[in-house]
Amino acid sequence: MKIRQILLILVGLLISDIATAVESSMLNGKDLTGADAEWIGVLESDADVAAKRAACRELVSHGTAAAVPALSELLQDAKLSHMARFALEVIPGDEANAALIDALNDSEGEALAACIGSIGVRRIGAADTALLELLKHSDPALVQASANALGRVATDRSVAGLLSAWENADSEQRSLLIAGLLTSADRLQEAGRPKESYALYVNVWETAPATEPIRDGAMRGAIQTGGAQGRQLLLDGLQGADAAEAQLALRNALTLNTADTADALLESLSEVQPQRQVLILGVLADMGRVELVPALSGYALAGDPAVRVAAIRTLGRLGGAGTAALYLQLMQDSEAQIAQAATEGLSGLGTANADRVIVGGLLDADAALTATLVEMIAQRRLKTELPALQGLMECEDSKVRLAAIKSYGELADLEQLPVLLKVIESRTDRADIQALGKAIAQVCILANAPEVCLPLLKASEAAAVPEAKPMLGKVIKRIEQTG
Amino acid sequence: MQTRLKFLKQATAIGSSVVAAPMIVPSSVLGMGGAVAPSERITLGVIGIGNRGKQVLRAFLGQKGVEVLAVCDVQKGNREKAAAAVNKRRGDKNCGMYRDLREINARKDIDAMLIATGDRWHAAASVMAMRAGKDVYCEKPGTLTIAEGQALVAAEQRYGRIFQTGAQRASERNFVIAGELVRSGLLGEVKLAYAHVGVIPEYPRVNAYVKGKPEPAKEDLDWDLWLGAAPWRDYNPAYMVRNARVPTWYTQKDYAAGMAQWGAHTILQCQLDLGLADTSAVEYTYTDKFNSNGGKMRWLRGEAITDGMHIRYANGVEVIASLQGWRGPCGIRYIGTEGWVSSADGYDRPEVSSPHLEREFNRLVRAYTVRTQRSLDHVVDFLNGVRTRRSPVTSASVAHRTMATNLNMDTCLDLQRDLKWDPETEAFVGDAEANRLRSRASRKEWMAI
Repeated sequence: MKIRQILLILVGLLISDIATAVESSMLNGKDLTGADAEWIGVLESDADVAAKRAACRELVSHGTAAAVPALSELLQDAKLSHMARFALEVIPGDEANAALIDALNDSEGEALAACIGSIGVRRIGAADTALLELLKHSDPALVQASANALGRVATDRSVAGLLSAWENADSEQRSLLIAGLLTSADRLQEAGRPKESYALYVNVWETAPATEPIRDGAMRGAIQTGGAQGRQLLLDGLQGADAAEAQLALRNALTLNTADTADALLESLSEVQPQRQVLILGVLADMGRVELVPALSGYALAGDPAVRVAAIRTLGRLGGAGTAALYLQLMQDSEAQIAQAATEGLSGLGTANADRVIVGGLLDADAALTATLVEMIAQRRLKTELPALQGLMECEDSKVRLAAIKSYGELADLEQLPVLLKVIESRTDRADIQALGKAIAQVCILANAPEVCLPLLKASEAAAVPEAKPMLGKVIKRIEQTG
Repeated sequence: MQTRLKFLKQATAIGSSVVAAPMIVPSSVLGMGGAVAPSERITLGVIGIGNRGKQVLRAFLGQKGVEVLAVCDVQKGNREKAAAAVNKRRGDKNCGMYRDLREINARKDIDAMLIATGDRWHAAASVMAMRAGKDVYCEKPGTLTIAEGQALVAAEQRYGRIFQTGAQRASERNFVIAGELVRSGLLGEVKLAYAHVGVIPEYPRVNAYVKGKPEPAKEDLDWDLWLGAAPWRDYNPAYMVRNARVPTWYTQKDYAAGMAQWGAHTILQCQLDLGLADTSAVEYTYTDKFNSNGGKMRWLRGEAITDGMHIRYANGVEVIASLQGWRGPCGIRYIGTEGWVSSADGYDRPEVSSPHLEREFNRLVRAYTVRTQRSLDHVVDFLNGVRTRRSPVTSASVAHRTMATNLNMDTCLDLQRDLKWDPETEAFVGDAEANRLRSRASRKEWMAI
C-alpha cells in the first residue's frame, strides 16, 4: 500500500466518522487482473456491503459470464442492486442479458425501472415483448422507462408496439412515450431505414402536444430523412409565423449543415422579415459555405440597415475573393453603421487580397479614408508600405499626416529611426512633434539597443528646430533611464 | 543592458500607450448597440447554486436582458440565499425555489438554464434541461464518462438547443491571443503544447467512504438527489465540504474527474487553438508523475517544464499535461518552429518569444472578433447564442471531445498502462477493460441520459 493511502487511512481513524472501506483497482495492494473468481466469492460470501460494492466495481473491469449469477442475485437488494448493474451493464454476453430480462419479473418500483434502463443501454432485443407488456403498467415512471428502453432496442416488434401505444394514448400518456418513439426513429435512421424513421418523426411532429418540448426533437430527424418533404418542413419552419419554430429550424439547418439546408436558408432570406434575415445570415456564416458569397453580396449593398450590417459580417466570416473590394466600397457608404461595419470587416480580413485592396485604396481615397487605410496598414504589419507612409508624413492634411506618423512608428525598426529623426528635426507643428516623439521612443525601446539609439538621438536633438528639441530631450531621458 | 523580462515590460508599457488602443472597436454582435429588445429578453433558471454557482450567477445577473425566474438546489440554505439575492436584484419576491430539478425544468417560462451542480450531475442535468426545451450554460467539467459526452452532443443536436460549457478562458483575451498566434501561423508549425492540469487526485483514483450519519429532512437536504446517478453511499456532511481533510466529493472517483479539474480548461484550450476541437487524443502514455511518488504543482516557466503525461493527436501534435504551469494556474503553452506563447490566469496578455509578436496582439484580437463575431465574455457569448441560435465557442461537441481526452487520461492513469483511442468509434483500441469504463450504470432510471 502506498504511503499516501496509509496516511489517508490513519488520518481517517483519527477522525471519528471515517470508516474503513477504501476501494480502488489496487484494493489491499492485490493485483486483481483476471481475478474474476475472487470477486464472485466475495459476492457469495457473508462479506459486508462495502466489500460487496468493491467486488462489483472490480467486476466492471474483470467480470465474465461466470460472475452473472452472483450479480443477478443482488438485483433485488436495495443496497447493492445498483452496483450489480454497474457490472452487469458492461459484462459482455447473453448471460447478462438474460439476467436483466429475468429481473423484470422479480423487481418492482425503482429497481425495476433501473433494470429496464439497463436493458435499454445494452439494447437487448429479446426483452421487447416484456417491455411492451410493461407499457400497460399503472406506474407512469415504469411506462416511461419501458418506452425509453423500447426506443433503444428498436426491434420491429418494439417499434410497432410503441407506435400502437402512441396511437391509442391521450396527451398525458404520450408525454411518457414520446422520447422512446423518437429514439426508435433515430435507431431506424442509423440502421439505414430512412422512410420508416421519417414516418415516425413526422408522426411525432404532427401529433405530439405542441407544449411538449421533446416534440422539437422530431424536426431534425424529419429534415434529415425526409428528402423534399423534409426540406419543405425546414422551409415552413424558417418562414412560418412561429418564432420558436423558426429558431428550431435555424438551429437544425446549422447543425445539419448540408448543401440542402444552406440552400433552404438562402431561399428563405428573401421571404422573411429583417429580424429573421439577420438571424439567417448569422447562421449562414457559421456554416462556412463560401459558395454562397455571391448570392449574399446583394444583401450587403442595399436594404434594411440591420440586415446590411449582418450581411457584411457574414461575408467577412465566409471570406471570398471579392469581399475586400466590397468592403472598401462600403466604407464610403452614407450610412454610418454600414461604413463602420465594412471598416471593421476589412480590418479583420486576414487575406493577401485584403492587403492589396487596402494599399490600392490609398490611390484615390479622400483624406478620412486615407487615414483609416493608413492605420490598417500598420495593424496588418505591412512593412513594404513604409516608403508610402514616409511620403504621407508630409501630407498637407493633418489627419492623414498624424496617422502616417503613428503607423510608420508602429512598423519601423532601428533601420528606420534616422527617417523619423530627420522628419522631427524640422517640424514645428505641436501635434506632429508629439506623434513623432512617441514613434521614436517606441522604436528605440523595442530595438533594445540604447548604445545605438542614444548617439543618433543626441545628434538629432542638436540639429532640430527649437520646437522639436524638448521632445527629443524627453525621449533621450527615457531611453537613458530604461537602458 | 536590460534583462529580457525588463525589456518586455518596457515594450508592453509602450504598447499600452501608443500601440495598443484599437482603432476600430467592433460594435455589438447583434447590431443593436447594446440595447436589448423586449423579444430578446432571456429568462434564466439556475440548478445548483453553491459556491461556483453563485459566482457564475453574478455574471449572468450583470447582463442586460437577463431575468432570473427561479433557482433550484437540493440544499435549502443554498436555494434560499440565492433566491434572496435574485429578489434583491429584481426588487420583488418572485424568484421561485425548487429542490428537485424536474420541477424547475417543467417551468415553460424559462428559456435557459445555468447549471452549477457538483460534477456528477453536470451531464444528466444538462440533457434533462435541453430535453425540457432549455438552452444550457453548464459549469465544467461537462461530463464524467464518454457515454455522457455522447448523450450531451445528441441532446444538443436533437432538440436544437444551445449549450456552452463553462470553460470561460476560451473567451478571455489573454487566451484568445495565444490561440490566434497559432492560427495565424506566426509561431510557425506548432507540434508541441503544454497544458497545466492543476490539483488532481492521486492515481489510481479511489472512493473512500466515511461513516454514515442520520439524513437531514428532505426539504433541508435531499441526499438522494445530491447523489444523483452516482453510486449510493450513506449521508455524511463531510462529502459536501471542499478543501477539508476528509474525502470530499471533489476527491472521489464516483463524483469527479481527475485530470479535468483544470484540464477541462487547458486541454480544451489546446484542442480549440490547435484545430483539434472535433477530435480527441489518440495515444496516451502512462507516467507515474501523478501518483504518490509524482511531482507537486509548481509554477515554472518555459523550458523548465519537463514532467507530465504525454498525449498525441492523429496529426502528430503532442500535448504534455503537467502539474507544472506557466506563472499561474490553468496555463497553456504552444511551441512553434518560429516562436512560442504562454498564457495563464492572472495576466491580461500572454508571454511570447519575441517582442515582435507582442505587437500583433491587437490585430489578432480584431481578426478573431471579425472572423468569429464572438464576444470576449463567455456568458455573453452564450447569451448571443441563445438569441441568434449560433453555436457558442465551447459547444457540447467541443466539451465532449475535449473531455474525452481528459477522461482517457484518467483511465490511462487508473489502469497504469498506455492506451490508444479511436476518435471515430470513440473506443480504445485493443483494450476491452478500458472500453468497459466508458460508461457507468445510472443508479436511477430517470437520472440516466
